[in-house]
Amino acid sequence: MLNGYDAIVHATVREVLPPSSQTLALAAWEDQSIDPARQPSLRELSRQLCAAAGHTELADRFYAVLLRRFFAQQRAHASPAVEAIKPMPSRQTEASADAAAQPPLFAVMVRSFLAQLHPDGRNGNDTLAGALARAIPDRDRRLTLERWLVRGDAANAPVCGLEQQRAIMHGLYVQACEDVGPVAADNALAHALRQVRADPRAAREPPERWL
Amino acid sequence: MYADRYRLLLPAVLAALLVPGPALATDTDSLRIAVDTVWMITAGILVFFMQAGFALLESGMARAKNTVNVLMKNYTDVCFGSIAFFAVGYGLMFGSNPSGWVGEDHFLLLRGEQLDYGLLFFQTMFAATAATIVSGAMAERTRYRGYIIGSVFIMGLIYPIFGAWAWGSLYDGNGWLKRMGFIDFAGSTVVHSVGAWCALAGVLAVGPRLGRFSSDSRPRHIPGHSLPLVALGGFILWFGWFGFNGGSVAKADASIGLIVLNTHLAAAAGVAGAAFTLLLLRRPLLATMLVNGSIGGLVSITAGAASMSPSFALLTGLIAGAVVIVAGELLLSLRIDDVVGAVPVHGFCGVWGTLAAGLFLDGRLFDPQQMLVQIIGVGAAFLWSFPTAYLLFWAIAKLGGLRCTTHQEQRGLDYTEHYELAYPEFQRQPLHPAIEDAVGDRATQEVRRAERV
Repeated sequence: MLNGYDAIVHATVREVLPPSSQTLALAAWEDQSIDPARQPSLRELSRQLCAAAGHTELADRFYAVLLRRFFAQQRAHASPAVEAIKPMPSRQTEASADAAAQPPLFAVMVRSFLAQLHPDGRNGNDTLAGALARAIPDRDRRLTLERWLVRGDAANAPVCGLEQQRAIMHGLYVQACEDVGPVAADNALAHALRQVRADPRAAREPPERWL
Repeated sequence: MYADRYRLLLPAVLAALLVPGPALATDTDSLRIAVDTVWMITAGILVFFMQAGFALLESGMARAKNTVNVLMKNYTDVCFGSIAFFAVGYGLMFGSNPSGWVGEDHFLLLRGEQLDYGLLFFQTMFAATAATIVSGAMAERTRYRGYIIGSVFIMGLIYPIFGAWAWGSLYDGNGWLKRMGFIDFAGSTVVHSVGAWCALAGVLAVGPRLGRFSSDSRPRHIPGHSLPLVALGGFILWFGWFGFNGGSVAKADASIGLIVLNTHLAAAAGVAGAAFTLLLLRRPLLATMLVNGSIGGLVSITAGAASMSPSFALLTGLIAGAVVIVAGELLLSLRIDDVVGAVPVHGFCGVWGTLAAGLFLDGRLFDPQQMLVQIIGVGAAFLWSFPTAYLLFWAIAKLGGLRCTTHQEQRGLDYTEHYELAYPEFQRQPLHPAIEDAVGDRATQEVRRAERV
């Protein structure tokens, strides 16, 4: 039986690739998914599967559809508030369940901010994407960070310095001001701060450092 | 009771009759000058107290994270501006003015006489009022230094030059507007509109606050942090205005009664006018709007407080209340972010009040000749102060000193500009390294430690 991630990849293969090459792509996916620890990024996965199917020109479209399905499923499965941006179950997160049980404090702050801003779960990813676009010029790095912040798997946390974390939080605030207004943005930030301060790890990592 | 009082006064009157005539006249003149001076100084002190009203009103309408910044601007613009007005402004405004355009002497009051000192004090408070109007409009995104530089130029240059046209000179010659018969008793246009047009220029130069308008240009409400401060500020301004208008007679005589009554009635009617307008527009009766309505009424009566009957003062204030609401909506539709509503209150109501002073002039109601002069005065105020102030703020912006960064807007100007918080018990922010040890805040020290690592 397919799990959530499998189902998304299968559906994307069926939507994007020609029927004649779908088998090749799915076989490559089966090879990929044997070792969860070596699972590539969504961008890399798209390239590999399209290359295996002999349609490298479709890699960008494949990636776009994969991302759309990924976030759509997240929203569909999410309950209001914080649940809206909790990581969806995947082979990797299942494999490293313990590590993922405690996402990095910075990711908690970001998710809490977004959850407060978009209690219904909608548009949270748009806000995050907009904020990262402000903070991080490099596209690939931006997408990696976006995926990490959404999925929150501690095992693959990209290196992100304090200045960059500050820039991300500030980008989120500015994006939130433009999307929903400064009052809601201030409230969301205050809520996120309270939530992170309640975490015992905040004694070592005060959340004020990200402001 | 009255018989007793007359019995007590009788010996004094008899004694006065016994002294030689010229000496009596001299004593009476001295007494009159002394009483006039005491009244003018008292009125000046009341006008100075209006600074506290502005500070409370503006800080209450700002968010908590910008409170100290607003207070500091209100506190220090008076200080730097007063020096500028003493050094340059008074001479430009009230010095000998044979050309009718600008005063040419009495800088630094080098040739002052005894009466000049009281007048300079009183007029300095007026100049400070014009400058401080700007701070509320530009609050929450304007850098402290940029604002202070702007206020020095407003008090030292922009305000006095228009003042010279309408009120100059005290010594020799008259301003060209004064010669035309322009009526602006205590400064609806000279003080309030000039301040408001400078504020409008500043607001346009600095731009709206982050997120004030949505992408489809709809305004977003950003409530202030303390309505009690707003209400208290409104009351203090109302209180101080009795000195603002009453002191403008520059002498202690019976005319003060009419002026103070008109002032009070217009303020009360301003609230009523704002409330009626809000009800007509099916809007809630917001406290900030009603307080602004009262100030709009006060601004509007300032021009004609001495020259119209109380019933017309009431009408003037009533219309001013409506002007505050309608002009506020107009600014929002133009995407102009005026935090406290200074431009509708001081600018538009100043214009209305100056026109009303011509319309309802006692004995010459609806005189078209007078109305023409009033319109010329109002137009001249805008054409002088708005472009000059825009140029000033544009130059400050170009030098990088006007608009704060978005990060400063996020953190608040209290922390990023002053390293002080208005409510430290409720606002947990790292403080400046120089004072963090003294404060001993654990979170602050942790952050600094982490940053060092």
